[in-house]
Amino acid sequence: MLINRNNYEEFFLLYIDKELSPADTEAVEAFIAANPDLAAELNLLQQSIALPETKEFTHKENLLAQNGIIPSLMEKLMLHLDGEASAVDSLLVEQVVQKDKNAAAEWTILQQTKLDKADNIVFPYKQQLYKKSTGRVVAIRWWRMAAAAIVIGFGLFTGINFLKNNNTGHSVASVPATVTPGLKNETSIDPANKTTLNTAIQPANNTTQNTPLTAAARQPQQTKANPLPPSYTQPAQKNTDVLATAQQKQNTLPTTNASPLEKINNNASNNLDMASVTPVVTNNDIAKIEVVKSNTPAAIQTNTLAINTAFNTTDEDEDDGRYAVNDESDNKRSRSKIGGFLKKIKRTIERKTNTANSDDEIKIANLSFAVH
Amino acid sequence: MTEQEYNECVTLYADNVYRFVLKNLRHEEDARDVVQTAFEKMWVNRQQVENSRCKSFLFTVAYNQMIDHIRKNKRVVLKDEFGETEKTINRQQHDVKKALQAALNTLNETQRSLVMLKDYEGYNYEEIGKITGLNASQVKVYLHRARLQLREYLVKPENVI
Repeated sequence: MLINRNNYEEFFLLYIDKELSPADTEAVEAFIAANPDLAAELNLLQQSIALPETKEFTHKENLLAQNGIIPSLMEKLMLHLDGEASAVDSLLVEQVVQKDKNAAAEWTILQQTKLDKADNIVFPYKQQLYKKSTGRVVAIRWWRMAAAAIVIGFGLFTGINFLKNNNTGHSVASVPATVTPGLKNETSIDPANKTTLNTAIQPANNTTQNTPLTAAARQPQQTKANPLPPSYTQPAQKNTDVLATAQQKQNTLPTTNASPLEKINNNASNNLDMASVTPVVTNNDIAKIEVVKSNTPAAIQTNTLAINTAFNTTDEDEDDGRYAVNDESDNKRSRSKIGGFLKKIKRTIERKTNTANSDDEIKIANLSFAVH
Repeated sequence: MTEQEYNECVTLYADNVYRFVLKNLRHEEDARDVVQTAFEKMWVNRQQVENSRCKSFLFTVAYNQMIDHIRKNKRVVLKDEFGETEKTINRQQHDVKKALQAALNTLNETQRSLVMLKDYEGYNYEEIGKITGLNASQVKVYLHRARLQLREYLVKPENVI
């Protein structure tokens, strides 16, 4: 087949691909020369052919065997070093290292590239990193504060009252027991004076009736002094009965509580006797008598301190038999913790300062106050 | 993560994170800042961080902070210069440890981080990839190149072990 203007494209494509025979190649070149208008089209087809580029692989050394070790073994060595090789590969590497000197040397060098875990560096500012929460904060509302204040206040009030009752209880309990013998002595001497004193004492006895301990403590004494039947130990009637019995020197009970006392109080001579008795009282009896004088119901509570003080001043007078019960109450008080502590302090101060209280003064904080 | 667990993390991993950062930055104050930032972020995100993953969380945050710090302060140039100086000094030293430290300084920060995470902390390729944001294949390739580089440094006549 000859080339002509109808089939020249096929001849041109074969020409640029160098697929034509030499005869056909010469025929194509002759055709181009005869038809110069088709030469440009042949040039365009020739430019579409990609020319070969020269690219050089730059990491050929990684593929080369180094020191007698091929790259695949080197990779396995490094995987084994990192602990990432499989069990089979690890076993294989260990066998190769044991057999091959080059592999063993390479393994030694690679091991030296591994960083030492023991290369410790301590972070010196660790304390600044610790967190410590402040804990749960509970807001106290006003009603909680009020409830707390009420509880504290009630506790204080109860505690003070308890302590106060403890102190006054012992002291007051001793009053009738202390006074009664004296009264009985005096009643035996002068019934008029006795009745006057009894009227003063009676409120004190009434006060002691309120404390069960006092009533219980007093009961045996009454039985001894006045052998009344047990049925007459009712508190309200008992004291007045004792007084009435002392006045009339009879064991029969009065029909009313008030009638003997009214008779006595209405007697004008009693007041005179009272006045005549007072100066006769000795110094040791001053406190006692004053306690008796002030034994009105109102004065009992207000003068509790005074009574205690009076009893304290009589502690020294242990010779007086009338205060035997008083000493017993002191013993009870000293047995209590606070009483013992106070007594110890008192003795220590007296021993240190070499001072002893006289009968007519009380020393408080090493200061003297006149009692008169 | 509770407060107690957080404090245990401080006790257990503060030194490790500090070593990792300090060996990369070679600047104590900057390393301290990075460590504090890492723990601060863990404290802020303690509700989301499980106690078992606190170490990798710390290293991830510390690594990112460290890379940001390097890029911001362009310490790479300074580091390279410093590495050359140190290399010169260490020519006279035949102590393996110091030579290895000098070789480590010739690596770039990524390679150095990979080597330290692998050798110091014992992480595998997968875990290192999670910390550094690479995949396991990249970690493997980068790490092996770093090893070869360290090896080449150590076998040079001037750095003969």
